[in-house]
Amino acid sequence: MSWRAASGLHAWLAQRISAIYMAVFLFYFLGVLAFCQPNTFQAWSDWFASTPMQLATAGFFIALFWHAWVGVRDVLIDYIKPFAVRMGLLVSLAITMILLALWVVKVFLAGAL
Amino acid sequence: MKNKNIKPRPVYLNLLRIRQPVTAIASIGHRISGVLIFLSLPFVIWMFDQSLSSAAGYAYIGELLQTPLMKLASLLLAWALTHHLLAGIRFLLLDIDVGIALDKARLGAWLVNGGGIVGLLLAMVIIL
Repeated sequence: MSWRAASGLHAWLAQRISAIYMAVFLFYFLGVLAFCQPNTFQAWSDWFASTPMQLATAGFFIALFWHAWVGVRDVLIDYIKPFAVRMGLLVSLAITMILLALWVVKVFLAGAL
Repeated sequence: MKNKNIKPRPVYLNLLRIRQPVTAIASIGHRISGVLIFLSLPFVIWMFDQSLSSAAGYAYIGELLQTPLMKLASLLLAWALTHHLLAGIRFLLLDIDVGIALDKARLGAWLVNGGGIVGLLLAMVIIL
């Protein structure tokens, strides 16, 4: 087993980097929601149409999936002991994550965004 | 080689009778809220997709969010997000040894647990 896989440092660091990115993005996102109130379709889709916002949002979803994969995997490994059940759930989790990520990619490619 | 003089350790797992320290409540709340946010993802992504797809889709999500069930779900998610964010910030601070002394760690946990409730109340004011 490689040093990286054995130590868990990679997952530990991933969890923190993605957390910090998401926290900053969320404060910005909620701030705009509260103070600019983009509460029409036009205002809402215009907001997500700018390139900086698209990049920031893409970064948010990458951080989210990275973070959720590490987090839910930790929860499963902590509570699910039988090997077959554990592996089955981890594989289901991985497939679910990939499908959700592809869905987000589809939203980005749909054009409005 | 069993030493018969050592008493077995007490196994006491009645969850209703275990009094968890405040730090443990902040910690398990971090887990529960994280799992809740994960479970909400398919739905949130679907709403995000719909809201950006067309004006009709945007209006539909707006109406959907006004239904009692969705209001309840939104409140639950508001608690989960606030608690998860605050508990996460606390863990990051603990990583760099801020608030690591027991009294400070307890105070931080109180702030996290209370902050989650404040987030819930704030969402109630906005949503209801």
